[in-house]
Amino acid sequence: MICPECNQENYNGARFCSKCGNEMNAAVATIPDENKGLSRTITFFLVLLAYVMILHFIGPVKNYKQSLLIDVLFASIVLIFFALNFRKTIELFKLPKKSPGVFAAIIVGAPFFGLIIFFLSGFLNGYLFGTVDEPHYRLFANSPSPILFTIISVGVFPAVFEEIACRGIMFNNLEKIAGVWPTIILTAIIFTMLHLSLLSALWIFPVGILFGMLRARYNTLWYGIIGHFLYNSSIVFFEILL
Amino acid sequence: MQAFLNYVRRKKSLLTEKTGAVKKARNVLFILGALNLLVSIIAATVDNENKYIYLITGIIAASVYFSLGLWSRKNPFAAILSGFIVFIVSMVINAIGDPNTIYQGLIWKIAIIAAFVYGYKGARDSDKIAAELKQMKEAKDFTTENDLSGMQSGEL
Repeated sequence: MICPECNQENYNGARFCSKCGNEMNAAVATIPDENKGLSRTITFFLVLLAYVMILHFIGPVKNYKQSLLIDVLFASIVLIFFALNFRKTIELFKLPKKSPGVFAAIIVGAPFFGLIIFFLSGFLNGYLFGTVDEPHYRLFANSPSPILFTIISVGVFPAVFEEIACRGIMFNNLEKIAGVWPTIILTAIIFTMLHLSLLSALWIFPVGILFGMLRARYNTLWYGIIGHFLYNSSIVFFEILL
Repeated sequence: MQAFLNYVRRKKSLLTEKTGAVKKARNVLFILGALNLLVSIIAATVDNENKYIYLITGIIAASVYFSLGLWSRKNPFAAILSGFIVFIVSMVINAIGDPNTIYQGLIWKIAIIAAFVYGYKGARDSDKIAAELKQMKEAKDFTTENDLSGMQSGEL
């Protein structure tokens, strides 16, 4: 709000100018953008949580068609909120400036981290729960191209739409209120929580922090999408190979 | 001038109220951390077969809440909002395991959620109000004693 007397910029809704004390007309208090952003972020999170919760109540997926349907549903929810936050989020799809070092680190680091987590999760599941992880590709065994469909469902869909959701839409809205580093941590927590597994939080949270840092530093979603895709896809390949 | 002073007093009162909401939310974070730890220890003692699962999940949950409680001293908004998210998700995970848990302790759950919501809103608002009051304090036009008539010592 600009004071009409001295042109000092004041807080939205201020009744008096902080510089000259002029009583400002009660301008219609419009809800600041950041309030809308916070409400949208929380609504978005709760919608995604409800979606994940409904999936768990429905029960395990039985075939590749159901799996793809679930992926498409998730993508649709994200795209709706993407449309509501289109202008700010589409900017994050600009190609990043050439950073061969970062790119190389992601290409090498993501599969390497995937290998570590593949063995760690297998060990923890076996030791704590006495179970063995069902390989992802078994679900797609009856599909026209099992490996391709597995990669699309496990690699592409989560990489693109989870990044748009967490490091795109939510990051943009929360950064205005909380600042960069708190937003990186907050979006990593949201990203972790949406997987609904406290144990997986051990590796999902650091990955969320890393992708958040890449998003904040380079102002692009591409590094996160590529890293996320390589990490998820590498786990599928390790399941096939090992 | 009097209207301005009343405005400042109201803002200060609001700041106190918002800061109080932040403190309550912080206390809730620490209490939840302690409760998670306590419950996991009791469950591990009772159920020997799954004791490691109870202990590990309890320690992880307690660490998360305690870390958020400590972080809330520096960044109350982000920490309290994170605590709210973690709490909601923990309720969802429990509900998936046993849907009856949705109704158990419902009043406490509503109270905790309310504390978190007032907490993160209070954190966001208190930052703004504090910054606004600071800006008023630094305003150059209010430097002579005449201008400060009616204002008590240290009011701004």
